[in-house]
Amino acid sequence: MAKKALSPEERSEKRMMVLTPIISVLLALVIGAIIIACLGKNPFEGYAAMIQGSLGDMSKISKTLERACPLIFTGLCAVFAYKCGVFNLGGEGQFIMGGCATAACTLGLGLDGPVGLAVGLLAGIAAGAIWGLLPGIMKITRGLNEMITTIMLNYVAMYFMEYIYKNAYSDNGLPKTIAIPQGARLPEIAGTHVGVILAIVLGILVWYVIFRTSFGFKIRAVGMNPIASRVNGFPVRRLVLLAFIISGAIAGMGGAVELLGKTPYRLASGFGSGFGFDGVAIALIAQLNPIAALVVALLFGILSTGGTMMQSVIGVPTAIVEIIRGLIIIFAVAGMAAVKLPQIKAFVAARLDAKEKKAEVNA
Amino acid sequence: MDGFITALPTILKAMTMGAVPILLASLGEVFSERAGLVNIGLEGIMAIGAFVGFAVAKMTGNLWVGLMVGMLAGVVINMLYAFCTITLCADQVVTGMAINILAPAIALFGYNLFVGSNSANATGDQMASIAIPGLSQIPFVGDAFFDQTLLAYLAFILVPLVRYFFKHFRAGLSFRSVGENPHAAETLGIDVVRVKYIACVVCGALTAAGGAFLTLCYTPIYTDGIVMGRGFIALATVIFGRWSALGVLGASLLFGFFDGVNVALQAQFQSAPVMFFKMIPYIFTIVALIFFGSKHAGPKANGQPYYREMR
Amino acid sequence: MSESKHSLSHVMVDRRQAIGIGLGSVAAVTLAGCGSSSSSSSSSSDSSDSGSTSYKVAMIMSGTITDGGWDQGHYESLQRALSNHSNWTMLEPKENTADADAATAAQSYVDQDVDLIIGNGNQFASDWAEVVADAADSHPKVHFLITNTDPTTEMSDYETLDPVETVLPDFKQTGALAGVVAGLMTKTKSIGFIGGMKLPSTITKYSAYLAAARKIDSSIQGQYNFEAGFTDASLGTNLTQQWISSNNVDVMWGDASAVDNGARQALQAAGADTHFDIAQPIDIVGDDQPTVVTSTVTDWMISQAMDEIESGSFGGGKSITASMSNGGISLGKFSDKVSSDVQSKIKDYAQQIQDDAFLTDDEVAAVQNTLG
Repeated sequence: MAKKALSPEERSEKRMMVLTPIISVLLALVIGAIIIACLGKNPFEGYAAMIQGSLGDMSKISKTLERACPLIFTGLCAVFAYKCGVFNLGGEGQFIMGGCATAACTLGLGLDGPVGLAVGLLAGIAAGAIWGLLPGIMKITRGLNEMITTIMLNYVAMYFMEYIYKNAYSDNGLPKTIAIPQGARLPEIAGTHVGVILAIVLGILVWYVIFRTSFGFKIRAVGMNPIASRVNGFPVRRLVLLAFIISGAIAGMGGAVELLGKTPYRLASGFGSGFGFDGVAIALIAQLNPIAALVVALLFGILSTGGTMMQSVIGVPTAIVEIIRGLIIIFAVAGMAAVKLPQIKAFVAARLDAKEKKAEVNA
Repeated sequence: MDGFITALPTILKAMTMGAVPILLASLGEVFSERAGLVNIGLEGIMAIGAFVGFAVAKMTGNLWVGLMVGMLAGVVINMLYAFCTITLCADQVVTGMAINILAPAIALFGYNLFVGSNSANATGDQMASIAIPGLSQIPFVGDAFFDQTLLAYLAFILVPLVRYFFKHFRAGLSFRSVGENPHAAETLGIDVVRVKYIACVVCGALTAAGGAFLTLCYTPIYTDGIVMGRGFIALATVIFGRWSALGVLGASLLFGFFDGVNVALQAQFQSAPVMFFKMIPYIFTIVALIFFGSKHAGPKANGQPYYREMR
Repeated sequence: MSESKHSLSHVMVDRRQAIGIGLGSVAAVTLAGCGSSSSSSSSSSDSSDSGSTSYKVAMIMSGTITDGGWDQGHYESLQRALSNHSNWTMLEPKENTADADAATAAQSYVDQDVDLIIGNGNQFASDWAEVVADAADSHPKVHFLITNTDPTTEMSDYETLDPVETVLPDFKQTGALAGVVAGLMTKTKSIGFIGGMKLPSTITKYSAYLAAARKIDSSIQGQYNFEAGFTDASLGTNLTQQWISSNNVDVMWGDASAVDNGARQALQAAGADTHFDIAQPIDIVGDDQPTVVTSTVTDWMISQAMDEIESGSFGGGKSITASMSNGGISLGKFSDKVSSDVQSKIKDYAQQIQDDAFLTDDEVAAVQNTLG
């Protein structure tokens, strides 16, 4: 990908694409502040508590990173799939199946120590890949819309996880699995489990694969225009299937990391709940850029941990944080689409022209 | 087998009850997709419909006012989707996704304000069932089909109406052409954008009615997560039902039937791991799609943004 | 080929800009927060009032305080405790707490030095191990009360239990009370039970319920579901309908919040004069609940926990038992469907249950062993 000199229009468009998510966040926070003010609470106090609760000290930051970690994985899962034109909404199911396989391997085989950790991680990756492969096969053989099949498989995975934690590896008949043995857990560095570093490395790796390798180029080409890609001789079906598998594997790894790295080191009701859809939102706000996805996932982590803090400090309903999150997504999506609209482009171009003319006159 | 026969009337009853909210939502989605808009925000719109229907019915004491305002709220939320996808040409999947995150949060927030710690507001009223004399006495199917709430009857009556609309009305035909080829439709003098907005109004209203059914006819309470994935099921029934009103009816009933079977199995095999029974409706949906979902059916311009030519 | 490459680069955002997006958005949040932190210290400190020491209490739950079941029961217990502890104030309860945020929710109250943090149910026991360990060192004033949890089996991975106590109701008594009512009210000799989650407590409750009903009439049959969840009301309706038509069930007892509400819809549809419901854990007998004949009420002993904190004896991983003798378990009001004759019989049996003279542990275990 050779660097080209960008025309002023292109540069301004890119700048707007960068600005839009930031403005969306600010706008959503402003609306959130208005809602909070309407409830008779102090929004500034609330947002201060949000920052304090998510980034206030080292232990808070590490908790925020751990909260963001699974979202990085599901976000990358969505990024990779969408780059290939695959609408994988099954991040949650793949994440859950990853966790299930990890639990089944380490607990079922009674593994401990680094062996247990390695086997657990690999099992999670494999299970996620298989759970991603299923809708992939249905898409390329029967032409089934993957949005539907992946969502259905999310429910199947959720109930399968119930079997794992209620029946197969239940802790004394309680609805949670036995805890992963101490030795098989992910080690901690500075209060944060190594999974966070794995996630960040994975993000960079995904970026490299997508934007710097010929495989990544083919994936993107298929995502842009499958028919042209087929004409060019790319194995479109195989690439699509691979996109399913790899994005599933990423989510499955996330499930394994979440189970092996985060307290309580158990599967229980609610494991992975909502992470898949959050991942989709993250991917889109990040405009399908893996590195940006890391940052947006961190933002979501801040919203979750900080939002919980804000909620309890100023005493507002939990739903407000959810509303802010929903608004961020809506504004970002709407904003980025608006920037691409021909009318807006024309307007910006006209402003640019005027500016240049002004500059010329001044000179 | 004997057990199945005794359980059958109740399974059928659960089938019709379970089918109605899905049917309403998927009829709405048929309008939307016929106009080329895949709306995966049904789940969120149903949550809004369920909550607003519940709250307004409780406040006014009139279930039908609740239903109407609930539908209106569904339209309002769906206008957000419409504006983003039609006017701004935003990605339909993501916008729908955002609706699914935003709308239940708004509903929950409303619930916090409306009910809060006042448990007297937590339980509302229910629509009464109307048994059709004679027909409701038919063994097996009578109770299931002819002892329903008025809203359920209306949902079923809607099916032939929608079918007739798409087959024989000019407006219905222009809907279809917008979904098939918007540029050609535009040259024929159809206002594509207007048709798409109308589709979103209908979709929002019907989907919200499906949600309101849950709180006005099924159980008189609202809980966060009451929709339980029915919006996503409705998306699948639209594909399975091949974008036709009759097909959607059949698909909804089939899904309701398998959900009824799931409950019957849970009721009788009590010590079995019941989570496998709970998978049945979802696995059935996938299997049904594998056998009956077709890659060639469906509006051709579905899911694609429509950029009107610049002038 | 180069054509398509060119068009690709159009859509992509390169690395530098991507980082820009992210940093920008983080900065945005930070600015929004920091720009205002000056005003934040004003209102939080003025809660301490004159004279006697004041205490703060907070409650964390998975559902809402009006769920008609589990969390409402906890909230009403807290209200009762507050009504006779005027020096305690309650912070906004944390509703709809997702699993992933359970630990953060507790931490947020630890940071505010809340004297008593209540977790509604044993799902919090496994999530709070780290928070409790940290708080024990840094915030010695903070105490944790986790309900429905057996500290010996469920909190073995805690480093310290110093600031923790749990509440365990005597489930045998709860079940037996409901069983006596069901045994006396059923005409068809067939009763049902829906539980939200298959916990040891759920199984004990049902076993005692059926055993007690069989003590009244040994021919009584029981139907159960332990995994209905707490939100899917329609499942309650459908399950109960199925049992009414296939098994002739005419009395239901529920332990599943919103799902119980669904069960009551089915009972009402089948005829509120012949089909009865026993509510749990709050007293909801009233005109708007035609099928509910009485309620088994659980009080979560928050009053006692507050007393212990005031006197400094709280903690050490003790388990407070809620039972009929200390008011933790009781029967609620009766509806007019329960004749005065039956009411007096129930009261006799209730006294026997309180004196542990009604049902033996073996009888409960005998039922439990048939559940598979």
